[in-house]
Amino acid sequence: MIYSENVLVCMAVPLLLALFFLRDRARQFVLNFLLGMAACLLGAYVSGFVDAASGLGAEDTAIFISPVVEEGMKFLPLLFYYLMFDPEDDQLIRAAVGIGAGFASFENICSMIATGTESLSFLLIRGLAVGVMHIVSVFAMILGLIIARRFKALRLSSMVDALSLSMLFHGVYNLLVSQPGVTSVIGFCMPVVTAGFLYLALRRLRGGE
Amino acid sequence: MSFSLLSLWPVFLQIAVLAALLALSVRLIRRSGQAVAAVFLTFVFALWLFTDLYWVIFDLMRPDGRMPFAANEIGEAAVFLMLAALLSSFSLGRGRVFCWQTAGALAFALGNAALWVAWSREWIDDLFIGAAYAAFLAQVVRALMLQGSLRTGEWIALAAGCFLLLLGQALTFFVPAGAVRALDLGCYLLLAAGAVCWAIKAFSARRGRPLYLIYALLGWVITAKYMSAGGWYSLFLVCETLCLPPLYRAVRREVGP
Repeated sequence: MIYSENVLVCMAVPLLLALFFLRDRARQFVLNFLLGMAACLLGAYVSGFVDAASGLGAEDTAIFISPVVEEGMKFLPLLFYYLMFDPEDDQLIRAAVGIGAGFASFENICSMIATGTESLSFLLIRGLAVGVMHIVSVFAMILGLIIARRFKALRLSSMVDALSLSMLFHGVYNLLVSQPGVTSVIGFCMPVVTAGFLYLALRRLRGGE
Repeated sequence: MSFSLLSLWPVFLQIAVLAALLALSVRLIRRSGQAVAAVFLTFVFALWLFTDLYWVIFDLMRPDGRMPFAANEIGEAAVFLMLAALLSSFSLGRGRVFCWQTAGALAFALGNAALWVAWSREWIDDLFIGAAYAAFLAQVVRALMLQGSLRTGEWIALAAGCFLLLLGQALTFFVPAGAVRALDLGCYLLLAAGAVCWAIKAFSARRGRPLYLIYALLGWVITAKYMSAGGWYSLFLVCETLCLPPLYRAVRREVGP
């Protein structure tokens, strides 16, 4: 058993202190990174509760329920920021990337504590795949919101759509990597390939400004 | 695996069609001067594509398993909401939001959701999707009504058909096995006949706005898909796929330069 709360406290204290010495964009990024870590812990609580309440089992919960819960947890702080402060596109992207990176880092650390740190190749693959996947999924979500706002198509359905897209992306990844073999190779490659496409989409979006 | 692949060909077909339409709808955003409807259509196709991909991957990796509540259920509900939002993005004109037609659509959706729950016992999944499906059907019926797309006799025939479908499917829980097969066959034939009628009406509507009739056809075919099993399910899934290019064409006609 991992005492994730203790890990979070150890990681958060230096970052919280750093907030006092940082300004503007750097402070915003660190704050969002912290929020991402907190979202990861809350997501684990909710997934654990669903596992206990539904009797699905730890593996099926991780494959089917976690994507829904985790993306929801990442979405909530972003939605709050989006609705309360009406930020610029770039501010929103920074917030999304910070939350995604914080979420992925905390998940990776908890995973390393649970499984051990002997195999560097495994840790590299996991770090690259999970790290990129969380950033890509939250980035896709925020890109959906930005596009909807830019084209004056922002409604409840657009928000649900953006959230669903990120949940589906995360769900497909979890499904693919749940079994060893070709599927998991495809799964590990999927976030990096999608990140490339999203980068191109962002460049085009910025070019159109 | 080979059987699974064979039985999944209608989904593969739909994925291929959706991928092509997604690329076209992205182009439509630029061509239409960034029309809201084109953005919504792109969202619909992207979400639908991912939902299908999730389903196919699950079916290939766990052919014998039954999927619990997962991301694709939320995706399906979001597709219904986006389809409704796409329809409402067109100027439907002024009119009452609620009338006996929309009440009928909501009752039909409620009846369908109740049948899904009775078949699968998956309360959360079915009620969640049922709510989004009801919103979609209500929006389609409202659009048909405000545009005057159906005559009084056609509304009555539609109501009678929907009532018979719900009654027929509800009776299958109470009658012996032999009668269940006959009732199922009757319902499938009624669903197929309804789909043919909607298709004739949608594709013969040269004037006006055929978009609403194509929406009605799509709504009917989706209902038929959810109500059927086995080969009939595959048939209605193919019909659903065949409705997608006309949907794109109708939206392009509405927003195009």
